[in-house]
Amino acid sequence: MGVPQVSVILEARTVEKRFGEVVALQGMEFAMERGEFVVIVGASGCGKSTLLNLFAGFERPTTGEVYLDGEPILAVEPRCGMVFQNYALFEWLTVRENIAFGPKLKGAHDPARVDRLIATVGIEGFGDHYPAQLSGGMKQRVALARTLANDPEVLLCDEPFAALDAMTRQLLQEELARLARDEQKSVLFITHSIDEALLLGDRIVVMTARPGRIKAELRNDLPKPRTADLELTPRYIELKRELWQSVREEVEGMK
Amino acid sequence: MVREESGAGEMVELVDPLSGETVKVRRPSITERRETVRRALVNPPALDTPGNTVRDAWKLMTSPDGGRPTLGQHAFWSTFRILLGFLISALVAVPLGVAMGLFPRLRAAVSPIISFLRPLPSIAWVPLALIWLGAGEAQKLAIIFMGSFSAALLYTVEATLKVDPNVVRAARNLGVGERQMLTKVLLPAALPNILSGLKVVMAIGWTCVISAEIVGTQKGLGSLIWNSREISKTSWVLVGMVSISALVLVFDALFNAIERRLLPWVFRK
Repeated sequence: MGVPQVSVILEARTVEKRFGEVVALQGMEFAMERGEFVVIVGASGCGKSTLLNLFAGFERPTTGEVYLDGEPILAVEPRCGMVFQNYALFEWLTVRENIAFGPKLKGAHDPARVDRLIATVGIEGFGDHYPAQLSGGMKQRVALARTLANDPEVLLCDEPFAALDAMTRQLLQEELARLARDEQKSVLFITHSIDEALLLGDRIVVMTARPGRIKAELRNDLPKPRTADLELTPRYIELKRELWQSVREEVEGMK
Repeated sequence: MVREESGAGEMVELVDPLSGETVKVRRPSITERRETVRRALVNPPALDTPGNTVRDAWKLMTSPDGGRPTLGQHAFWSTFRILLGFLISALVAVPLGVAMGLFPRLRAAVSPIISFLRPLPSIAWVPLALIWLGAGEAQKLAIIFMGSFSAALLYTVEATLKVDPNVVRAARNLGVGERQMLTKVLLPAALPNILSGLKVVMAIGWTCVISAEIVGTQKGLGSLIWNSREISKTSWVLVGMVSISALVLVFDALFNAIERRLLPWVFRK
């Protein structure tokens, strides 16, 4: 009592979200700490994207409330930067213009910073290309840089690597983990890949089938930095089995 | 040697299959019948020889008699009418179509009207256009406008609806407000599909050329085709048809060039 809970950055309290007859989320209780990398795993259609949309402020909960830094999220929240599975880049702008988009709106455009972000996500030399000229992996790097350019407090990632080939995905996973650590970002990451969850998450949350709520959580104690080699260690296999047991019941329940 | 058929030249009674009346006709001789067939095959009234067609086409391009307009003048007038009609059509359809894409209520209100107008061929507008606007240029533009408007509108609505909702969300997430969304995101995102729709609409505009020029003008490829039909000048009908197709090709190429300039992000690979 009396100790301020300053460390909680995102929170959902007794959230329910309905779309007409469909109950996407029910009894959703969730909290994450500043600097934490949380991965939510769940079958498709379990409402995990809905939860992200609530935190981004794209949708409002039907009942209950979501909070950023202790304040309710009532409108689109630019401090929660979103990365989409389909990149959602501005096709008519160059890579550089895409990244500078957010800062320009705020009148805080800094070309040197854009160059630094281009280097951070590893797309040097492609600043003047259009998105259509890039591969999927590079597009997602641009999207990541565009979100980081706005300097959000939380990075919301909606299955950002799901459409990429296995090798590109591996590479981007490792880079996102490094980036989150270097920039000390809080990340809420959604996936249906257990391997991805184990590679990235400090904490892994399993969601139930619809209506979605939290079913189980697991603190991921695998040593960092994590690479593909880790997937052969006994501890990894043990955690994976545990997670899969939990997810499996939900996937089977969806059938 | 021709053997005369018996009974040639005599009068015979035939029953008219339509009226049921009995009529008396003279039976033609075999020579007369052969002559009729020969004339039809060798000198059919509906087709000119290729040589005649080329000669007539050349005459039309250089100096048609009787103070008639040259092919160039016909082409100029049609182009002028169709481009202007197309432009007016696009200027109304694009803003309305984008608005319809954005506001479901407006879409619901306008769609039934468009469903009614869309199937009407441009020629159906000729009588009303004549009565309301007379036989001047306004009537011709109105026909081209009505013939191309619903297509332009539907393509624009479609293009607006096709904008990826995640792109709009990404923009909101980066701080774009309601007011800036249209110019900063929706229009550039929909532009490639709007333009490729308008390219089709321009060709649709050309299909209205005969309806537009069927009355009240002696100038234009449509009137050339229509008037030549009346004087059985098949060669000029063909020249008119080929000119329309050729002009559509030219304008398609021009439109493609404009597209490439306006949409570097689509064409730079």
